[in-house]
Amino acid sequence: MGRSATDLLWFIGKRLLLLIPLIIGVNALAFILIRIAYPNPSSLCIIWLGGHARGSAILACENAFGLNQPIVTQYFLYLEQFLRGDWGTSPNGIPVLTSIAQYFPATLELVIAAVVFIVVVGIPLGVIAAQSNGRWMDHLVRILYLGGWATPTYVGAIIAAFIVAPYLGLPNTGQYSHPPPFAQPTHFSVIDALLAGNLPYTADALTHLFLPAVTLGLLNLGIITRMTRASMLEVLPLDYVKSARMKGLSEFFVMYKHALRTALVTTITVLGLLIAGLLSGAVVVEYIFGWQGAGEFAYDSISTANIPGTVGCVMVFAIGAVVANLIADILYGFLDPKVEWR
Amino acid sequence: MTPEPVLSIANLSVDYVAAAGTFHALIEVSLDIPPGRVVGIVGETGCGKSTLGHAIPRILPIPPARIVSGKVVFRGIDITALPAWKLPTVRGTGIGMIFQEPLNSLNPAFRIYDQVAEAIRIRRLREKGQGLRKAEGAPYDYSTTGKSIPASPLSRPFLPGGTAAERLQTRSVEDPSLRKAVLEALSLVRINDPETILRLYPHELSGGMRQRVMIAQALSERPSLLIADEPTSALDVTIQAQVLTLMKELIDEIQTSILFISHDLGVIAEIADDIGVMYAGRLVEFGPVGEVFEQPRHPYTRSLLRAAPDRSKQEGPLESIPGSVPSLAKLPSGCAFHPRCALATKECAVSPGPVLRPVTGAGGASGAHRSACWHAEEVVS
Repeated sequence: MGRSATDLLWFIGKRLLLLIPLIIGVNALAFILIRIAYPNPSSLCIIWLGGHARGSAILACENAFGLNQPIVTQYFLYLEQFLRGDWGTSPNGIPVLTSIAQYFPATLELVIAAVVFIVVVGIPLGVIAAQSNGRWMDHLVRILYLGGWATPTYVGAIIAAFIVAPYLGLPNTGQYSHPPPFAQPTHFSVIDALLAGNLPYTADALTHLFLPAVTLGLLNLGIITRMTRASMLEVLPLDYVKSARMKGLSEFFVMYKHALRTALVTTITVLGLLIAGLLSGAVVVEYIFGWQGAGEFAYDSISTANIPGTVGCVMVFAIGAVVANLIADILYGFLDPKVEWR
Repeated sequence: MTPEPVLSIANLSVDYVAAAGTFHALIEVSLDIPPGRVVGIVGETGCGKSTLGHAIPRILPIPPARIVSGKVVFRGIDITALPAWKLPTVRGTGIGMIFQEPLNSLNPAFRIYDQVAEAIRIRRLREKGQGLRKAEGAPYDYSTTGKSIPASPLSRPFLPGGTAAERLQTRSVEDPSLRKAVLEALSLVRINDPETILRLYPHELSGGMRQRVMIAQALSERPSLLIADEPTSALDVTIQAQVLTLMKELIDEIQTSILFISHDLGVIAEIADDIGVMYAGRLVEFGPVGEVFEQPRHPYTRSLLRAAPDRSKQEGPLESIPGSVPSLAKLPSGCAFHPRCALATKECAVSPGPVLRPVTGAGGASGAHRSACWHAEEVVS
């Protein structure tokens, strides 16, 4: 219990250990819930094989996947496989882990870009709103973030993709304009292009990333702006803000170095929760922008009754949520010197 | 001949505008602080003395506060007329301030070293900017300060602050001259072994220690004027005495004018050269400490003196002032003190507030003793 580097490592270790029961629990819940959504095994096989499948093929399929066994038995068969590191195979024959390795980085890239936007724009907006508390600037900022927060994602994304994008001449589909001529080891569109040393493709990837990321960011920065504003309003009347001012610091430093530093503590916690939500919440934005990410994979998996694929997506989102909150907790400890790692 | 005052306040009025009405926190306060002199301001809670302290460097929250009229001239420039972005150039190296709550006046997220070092860095930056003026005896010529202080060199890594980031932090403790200056500032306020507290956070220090750090931080910028807003009120009695002793010693060591705000007459008596007594937003009496204590020329001052426990005598119950402090939203007509005053006449209730004027006769020998009472000459101690 303390604030040394070893304490921090212990803290991270303990939190990661907690992931194990969480993974098993989410896994069981996701598998069973999805499996009971298709009570009739032959209907599943028809979806997988296609409408023209004949009776014998369906029967062979049912036996091959053990669909006639009790659901609990099916789950334990799946779990055994899962724990061996095999997350199953999609009906199209591609292993789920391969698909996740391909699609999840794209989502992560989109979410990271959106979070950067939220942090760079949303937090200063909150500071500005707090500074001009009750005056027209405060109201303007409130209209902006409430507008974003209240807009349904599909409306906002459609407006961005089909009205704003053509107007600004920005691309609104996919990660690149043309299929890249280089290998994609990380599946982060910008990083892959940089690794290949291909600057035109890097710029292309960035312009493709810009609009979906800004859309996702604008629609979700409301809570961050609001939290920042609220905690800044709590901090601003305190004596240490006055004493920072009385040191002769410019208003910028008083706000962003002294006041925001303590006000960020609450914002960071909310940001952790928000990132967790964005990982799975990006689905609609990805779908509308043709962004080939985990959202698209999840959507396809659900609509094609791809059980291992769907469970795999749920797993990744769950792990992402836990890791995002862990990072938020670590940052929290860095921001508040009174926090002890435990 | 009196030297040019460091700070000259003329007819300063401040209102607080709230939903419940307009509160007149300061009414036509005029006050001069000569160089090197300690001016004490005393008054009850809510009399406007803290508002005065905050109005001088303009750190009042606006709104609800509003400077209605008046001038605050500091070293030749009118602070009330400065645009907001120029204000930082006056603060810190010009006017320093110590606050009441040592618990809150240091930033909880930064180490002691970083907070004091920041103050010293600001001073050095300004010295660099105007090094020639310094040789002439005036540290900074505020009248020519046209641009704001370049702030970027002060920026520091934003996030790391925990013990887990100690390696990152040690980088900042590497500037040996800065480190030395911080240690000097801390030893100036009689912190034994300042090395040990450099890396601590404010919450790891006691209240008295924090107030010492606060004083060190303010003094490390070598301000021409130090405003001490009840610096000892929130401390334990024993710690209070220590901090007070420290301030008394420091006053002899440094050449700074001080505006010392307190509700404690004993504290003011020990520390101040001049004393100003405030009541309901007005400065009602002003004069050299000895004269005011010996020969108060305002009935309120007299009552206040009688209500203060005298440590040397232990006879009889303490006197109290009848009635209570009037609401700043609904001040009595005429002299605000007249409902509680034994000397009040009809004139006091009707005529508008009297102006602070030099008292004549006994006790007014120096001419510096002024009172805002129609019956100043009739007040007997």
